[in-house]
Amino acid sequence: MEPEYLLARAKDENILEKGECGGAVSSIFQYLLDCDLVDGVLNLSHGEDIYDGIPSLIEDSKDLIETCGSLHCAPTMFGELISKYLQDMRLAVAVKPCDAMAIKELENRHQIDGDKLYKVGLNCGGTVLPITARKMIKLFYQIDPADVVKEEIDKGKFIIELTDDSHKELKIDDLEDEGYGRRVNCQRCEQKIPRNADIACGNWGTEPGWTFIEIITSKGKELVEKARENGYIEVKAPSGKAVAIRGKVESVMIKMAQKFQNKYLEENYPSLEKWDEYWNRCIKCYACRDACPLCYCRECDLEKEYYEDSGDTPPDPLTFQGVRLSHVCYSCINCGQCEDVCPMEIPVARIFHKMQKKYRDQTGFTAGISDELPPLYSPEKE
Amino acid sequence: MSGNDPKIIGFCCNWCCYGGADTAGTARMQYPPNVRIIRVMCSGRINPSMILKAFKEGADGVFVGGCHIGDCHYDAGNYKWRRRAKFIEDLLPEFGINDGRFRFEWISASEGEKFQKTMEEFYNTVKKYGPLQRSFSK
Amino acid sequence: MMKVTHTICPSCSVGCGINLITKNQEVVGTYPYKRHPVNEGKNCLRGRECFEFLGEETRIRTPLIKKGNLVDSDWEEVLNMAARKINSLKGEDIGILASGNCTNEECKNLKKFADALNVENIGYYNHNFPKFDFKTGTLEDLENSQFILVIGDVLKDNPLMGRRIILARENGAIIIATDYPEKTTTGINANKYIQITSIREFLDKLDSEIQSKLDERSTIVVGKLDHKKELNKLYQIVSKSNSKLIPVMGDCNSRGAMNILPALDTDDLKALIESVKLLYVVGDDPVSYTEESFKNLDFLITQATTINNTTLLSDIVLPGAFWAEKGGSFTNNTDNTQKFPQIVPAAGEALDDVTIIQKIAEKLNITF
Repeated sequence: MEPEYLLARAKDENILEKGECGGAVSSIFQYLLDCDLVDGVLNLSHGEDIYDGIPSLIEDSKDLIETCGSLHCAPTMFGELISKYLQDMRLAVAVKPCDAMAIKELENRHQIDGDKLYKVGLNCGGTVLPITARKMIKLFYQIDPADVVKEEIDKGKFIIELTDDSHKELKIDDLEDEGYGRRVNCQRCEQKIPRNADIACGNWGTEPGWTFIEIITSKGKELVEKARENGYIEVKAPSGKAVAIRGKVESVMIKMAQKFQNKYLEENYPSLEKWDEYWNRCIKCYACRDACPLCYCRECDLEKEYYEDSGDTPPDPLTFQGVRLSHVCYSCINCGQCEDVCPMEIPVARIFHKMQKKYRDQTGFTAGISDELPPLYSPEKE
Repeated sequence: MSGNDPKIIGFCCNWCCYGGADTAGTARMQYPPNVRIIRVMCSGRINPSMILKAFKEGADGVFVGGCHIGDCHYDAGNYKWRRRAKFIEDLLPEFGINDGRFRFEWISASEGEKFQKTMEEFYNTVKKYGPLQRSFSK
Repeated sequence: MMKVTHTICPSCSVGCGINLITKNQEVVGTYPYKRHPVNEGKNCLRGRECFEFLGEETRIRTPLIKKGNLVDSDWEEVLNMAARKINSLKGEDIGILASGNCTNEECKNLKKFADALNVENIGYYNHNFPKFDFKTGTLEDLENSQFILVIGDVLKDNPLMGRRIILARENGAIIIATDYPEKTTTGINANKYIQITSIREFLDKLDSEIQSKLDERSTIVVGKLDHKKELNKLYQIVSKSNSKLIPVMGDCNSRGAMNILPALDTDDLKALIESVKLLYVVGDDPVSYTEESFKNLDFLITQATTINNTTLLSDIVLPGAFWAEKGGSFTNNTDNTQKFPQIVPAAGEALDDVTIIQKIAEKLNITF
C-alpha cells in the first residue's frame, strides 16, 4: 500500500483538551471500544506521577481519559503482555516502534494472532528511564522533579513544563554526553516511525492541536475512515511542507541513531576483558530472558541440566549468555528490556544488538521489520 | 597425550563424515588421536549451543563434518547446518574464542583421505593457538 | 480483566518495587516497576517469583484444629478455642512470636494485644541482628561511596543492594568483601576478597588496610552476623571513622518490626518458648529453628499462610494472608517505610492478619 498522510484530531472536547496533539489516538480507541470492534485497549496510564507509566487495559471508553497524553519516561514493553496474558481478547494497542516490532515478530512466529489486533503506532524519538529523568531534572534543570507537570521531547530538546506553566529545556545531546537522557537502546534505535503498525501517529510536521497520521495498512485506512465517518475524529490533508518536515525529522533522527550505533557498538564497545568483568557479575536470575519479548519458549535450554552449571554464580557465559545469544540474538529488536531489568547492570542489549546487526548485514533479516522468518529457520536449500 | 596437547571434539554425521572417519581407520591412515568423535545423525542436528558447550567443557577446538552439499541423507540438513555454522563463526569471537578453533567440512564416506588431511590440518591449527585460555573467573 | 499494580517485593529486606500482573483477581506474573527508586525496575529471581507462593499447594485455606491430626474447622470454633485457652492462663504463661515478615500494622496490633493481656514474652526472631536505632546509610550513600566493606555474599543474597555496590565500583570505589566460603559472588566482583573463619575475630583484628580506608565516604554493608554483639562492634568502627553502616537483614520487615517488638536471637527465642505454656506464632516457623524448645509447650496457636513445621505441631492453625492479599507497610533496611495495597482477595477462608488478631481480641473482650 502507498503511504497516505493526513492530520486528525478528536471531536470530543474533553479528549481534544487532554489528549496529545488533538487526541486523535484516544478518539480512535474510543471509536473501537464504542463500536465493539475490540474488547479492550492496551495503553499506558499515569501512575503516581509523570515518570510512572503503567500498562493498563481499558475496557470502557469512559476510562480512556486516564491514558491521554504522552509519556516519555515509561520504557514499557507490550509484546509479552499480549502474547502471555491477552491472547483471548480482540485488542487495540498503542505501540512504540519497539512494541510494534515485538508484536510483529511474535505474529510471524504464531505467538500472537494479528487478526485480533489493531496496532496504533506512536512515533518515538526514544524514552527516558524514570529515575534517570528525575535525576537529570534535579541535576541539570535544577528543578524538583515533583514540580514537573509535563515533559516533551521536541527538536532535539527535552522540555519540562512546571506547575507555574513555565518551560525549561535542554539539548538532549548535552544530557546524553553526561550519561543521562534517553536510554542507550533508544539512542541506537533506527525505528522512529512504526511502519509495522496499522497507522503511525505523531507530532512531527503537524500543526498545533492536530496529530499527523501515516496510514500504513488497509486495516489502518479503514480504521481512520470509519472513526471519521462515525464522528470521532475530524481529518484534513497535511500541507506538502508538513510532510517534508516530518520526513526530515525522521531522517535526521535515523542518522543520529546510526552515529550512536557506531559509538556504542564499535568505538566504545566493551573489550573482552570488560565483558568478562560483566559476566562475572551475573547472578543467573534470568531477568534478561524473562524480559525479552522474543524469548518465548516454554521450556528453556538454560534450565536444562546439560547447559546449567551447578547453582553457583556466575554461570559460565558460554553456556548462559552464549546459549541465549545463539537462540535469540538474530531476533533482537533492540528494545533494551534485558538491560533495563538486569540487577547487575550488565549491558546485555549491546552484545545482542551487535550480533543482530552482524546478522542483518549478512542476511538482510531484521526481526520485527522483515515479513519472513529468520533465514536460520528456513527449511529451504540455498 | 600430554596435558598441553589440544583436545578436539569432532561431531560427525552418521551417513558421510563418520563413514569417512571409518574409511580412514580401516585403511590405517594415521590422524591425530586428539580428536574425540561424537557421532550424530546429521550435521543439521548440531546447534550452536552444542559447540558452546564443547568449548565450555574444555575443548580447544571443535570440528563438525557433514555430507557434501546436495548429498544430505535428510535432503537439506547440511544446508541448515551451514547457516548455523556461519552464525557460530560470528558468535565465538564475542567470547574471546578465535573462530579458527571451530571448523566444519563436507566429507563423504569414501573420503578417508580427506578426513585424515582435515584432521591433521585442524590439529595443527589448534596446536598453534595453544590451549584455550579463558579469562572467565571460574 | 488484566491489571498491573505496584507493590513492594516481600522476598527480602531491600524493599524493591515490583508490579504484579493480575487477571481475573489472580496474580499471574510480575512486571518491572521502573519508577521505583530502590530498584528502578530491576528484580532478582526470588523477587520475580514472589507471587508464586500465592498459588502454592500447601496453602492453608481454612482454619485447622488438632483432633488427633489437624482437621478442617471453622473460624468460630478456632477463635473460641483460642480465646478459652488464652483466658485460662496468666500473661506470664503466654508467649507471642511475630516475624520479620509481618507488616508494621500487624506488629503494632500484636503489641497492643500483648499489652492488653500483660504478656511480656513477645518478640520476633531476627536471626543474629539485634535491635538498633542508629541512623543507617542510604542506598545513595552506598552508590557514592569510595570504599565499601561487604560482610556476607550480598551480591547473591540481596542483589538489588549488591547492584549499588557494582555501581559504586563502576564509579571507581574500592570494594573489599569478606565471608566464610573460599569464593563468593561478591568476592569475585570485589577488588579484594578476604576469607575468614570468624566475623568476631575479623572485626577485633580489623585489617589495617581496611582501617586506613574507612572514612566519611565509606560504607560497611553487613549481610550476616554470628552474634548480635558484632553489630555494636561494627557501629563503633563506623562511628570512629565517620563511615556509614547498612545492616542487611533477612525479612522484608525486619527493620520495621524492630521499631515495635523486641528482636530475638536464637537464645532469646528458645528462652521465650521454653518459659511459656501457650505460644501464639504469627507468620514464622520457629519449629524449624528450635524444635526441642517446643517439648513442654501446652498449647500452640499458629497463624500462617502455608503448611510448615510449626503448623504441623500446632493445636490451632489460623489461615493468614499473603502480602498481596492484605496490604500494609514494610520498612526496609535503609529505614524507608513503604505502603502497599491489597491486590487480590485472600485464598479460601483466609483472613488478613490484623483482622485475625482483632477477632481473637474481641473474643477476649479486649479493645485497643
